[in-house]
Amino acid sequence: MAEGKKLFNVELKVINVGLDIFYDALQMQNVKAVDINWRPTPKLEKEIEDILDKLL
Amino acid sequence: MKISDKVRRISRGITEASVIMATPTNKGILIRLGFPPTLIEEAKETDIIIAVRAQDQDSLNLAIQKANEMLESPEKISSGDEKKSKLTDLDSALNAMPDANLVLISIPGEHVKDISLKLIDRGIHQQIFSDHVSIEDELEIKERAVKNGVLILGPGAGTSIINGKGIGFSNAVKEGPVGIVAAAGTGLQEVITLLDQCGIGVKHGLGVGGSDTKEKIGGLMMLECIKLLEKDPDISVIGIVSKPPSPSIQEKIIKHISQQGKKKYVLAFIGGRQMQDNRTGGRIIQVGSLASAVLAFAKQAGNDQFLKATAKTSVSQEDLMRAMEKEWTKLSDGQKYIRALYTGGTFTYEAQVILSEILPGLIYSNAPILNVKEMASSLTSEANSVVDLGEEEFTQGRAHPMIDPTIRKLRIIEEAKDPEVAVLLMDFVLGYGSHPDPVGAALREIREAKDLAERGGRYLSVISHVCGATGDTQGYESSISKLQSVGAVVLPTNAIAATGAALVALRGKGNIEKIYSQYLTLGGEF
Repeated sequence: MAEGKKLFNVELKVINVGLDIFYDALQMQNVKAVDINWRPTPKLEKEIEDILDKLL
Repeated sequence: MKISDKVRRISRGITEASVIMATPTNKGILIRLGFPPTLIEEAKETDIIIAVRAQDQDSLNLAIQKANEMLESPEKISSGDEKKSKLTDLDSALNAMPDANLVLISIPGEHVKDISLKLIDRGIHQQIFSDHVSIEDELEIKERAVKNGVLILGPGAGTSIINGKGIGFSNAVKEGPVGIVAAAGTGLQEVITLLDQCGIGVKHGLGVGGSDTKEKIGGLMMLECIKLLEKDPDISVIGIVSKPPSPSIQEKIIKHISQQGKKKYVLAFIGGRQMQDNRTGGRIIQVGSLASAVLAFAKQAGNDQFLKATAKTSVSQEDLMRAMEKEWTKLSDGQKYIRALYTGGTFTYEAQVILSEILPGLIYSNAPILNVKEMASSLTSEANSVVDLGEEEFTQGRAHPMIDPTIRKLRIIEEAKDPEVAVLLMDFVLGYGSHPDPVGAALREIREAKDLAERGGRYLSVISHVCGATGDTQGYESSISKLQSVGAVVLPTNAIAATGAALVALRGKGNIEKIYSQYLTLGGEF
C-alpha cells in the first residue's frame, strides 16, 4: 500500500476549500492554513459540449 | 446572509443582526423576531433592511457602521483578516502550500469527488464536511484513499481533532492520551468537552462521517483510523463514538479490535447495550450513550479519574428527581408535552433513544430513529417532538443553526404559545465554528417564552445542556450562568437533560431506573 503524507505528530498544514469560518477557526489556533475562495466551474451547455467534442 | 453573520460576529454585545432585502418573507421574519412592525413595514421591496439588536449603544453603532461599510464595498465582507488568501483554485493553493498535509472541504457535494481524487493522488489527507456526496462517490473516494494510504474524514464530518488541533466545528480541549474515531459530529464534541472538564485530554478525534459504518462503505475509514491510533505511542485509550453501525460492520469492528487491538477501548454505540468484554480482560468497554462513554473513558484512565468524572458529569437519580420536582410542581394540568429544539444531530439522536424508552410510541421527530414516529411537518411540532434544526429543510439557503440561531429563536416562541407544552429541551454548542454566543443569542426568546406562558396562567420549564469546554471563546461557565439567570435548568450532559425533560413532563412518574442503568451510569460489573 502506498503511503500518504505524514499527518500525525507533525505540524498541520491545511488548505481550506469552502466555509471561511473553518479557516478562521484554524487561524485562531495558529494552525498554518491557506484559504481558497472556491467557486464552482461553470457548466457548459450540453449542445456546446457536443460541438466541442466533435471539434477537439 | 454573509453580511448578517459578519455583523453578528463583530462584538459580543450584538445579539441579533439581519442585513436583508425587504421582501415580504424577510419582513415577516423580522417582525416575528420582535423588530417594530411599523418601521419594518415602511421598507419597500427594493430596500435593504439593517436590523440590529445590541446590549449597548456602542455595539449598536459599530454594527450599523460595519454593515453600511460592507454594503458599500462588498470586498469588505471577507476582509478584516488581512492574512486571508485570494487563491481561487486548488492548484494555486497547492503551489502556495506544497507541503500541505490536510485539506478541509466544505463545498457542494456534487463537486467533492473531483477534488478529492486529485488530492488522493498527491497523498493528501482530507476532512470532507460537505453533505450530499453520493454513496457511490464516497466508496470510490475511500477505496482509492485506502490504496494510497490517505485518510478521508467524512463526507459529512463536521468535527475532528488532529494533533490536538480542532478542525471544523470543534472545541478548545486539552491534549491527552485519548484518541477517538467518531461517526457522529456533536457526539464527538460532547465526549471531548466532558472529558476535558474531567481533566482528560484528547489528542485525536477523527470524524469519519455517518455513512462510513453502513454496509456499502463497510467501515473502511473507521478501521483505517483505528489502525492509525493503535500506532500512535501517545494514545493509550481508543474510543469509537457512533450511531449503531450496521450489524455486520459492528461485528467486523469489534472482531478487529478484539483480535488485533492492543490498547484499551471504549465503544459508544448510541442506543446500544452496555457491556464489558470479559474475553479481553476488561480491555474493551461497550456503552450506549455519550454520557456513559465519558464515564467509561475515565474508568479506562484509572479509578481516580472515574471518581472525578462521576462527580463532574453525573447527577444521581434522587438529585435529578428533586431538581425536576421544582419544575413540574409549577406546571398547569393541561401541560404534558416535551418540545426538543436541537442544533446538534447526535444530540437529537441520543434524546430520541432516551425519550422513546421512557415514552414508548409517543415521540415524534423530523429525523426519527427506530420506534419514533415521523413528524407530518418539520415546521409544526406535535405531541412530544424532537426536532433536529440542522436537517436539510431548515438549512437550505441559510447557515446551520449552530452558526445562525434565528430559526430556533422563532421556534422557541412558537412552542411557548402551545398550552399543552410543559418543557422545552435545548442544546447549546460552543467552540470553533459555532455562533460567537449561542446562549446570549437565545436569552431574550427564552425569557419571552416563559413570560408568554405566565401570561397564559402557565409555567414553561426550560431544560438545557451546554456542550463546551472551559477554553472555548464563548465562555462555558458564563453560558451556563446566563441560562440560569433566565430560569432555565442546565444539566451536565445531553442524556441527563433528556431524562430530566421526561421527568418534568411526566411529573416524576417515568420509569427511569432502566435509563440510569443503561445510559447514565456505568453498571456495577465495571
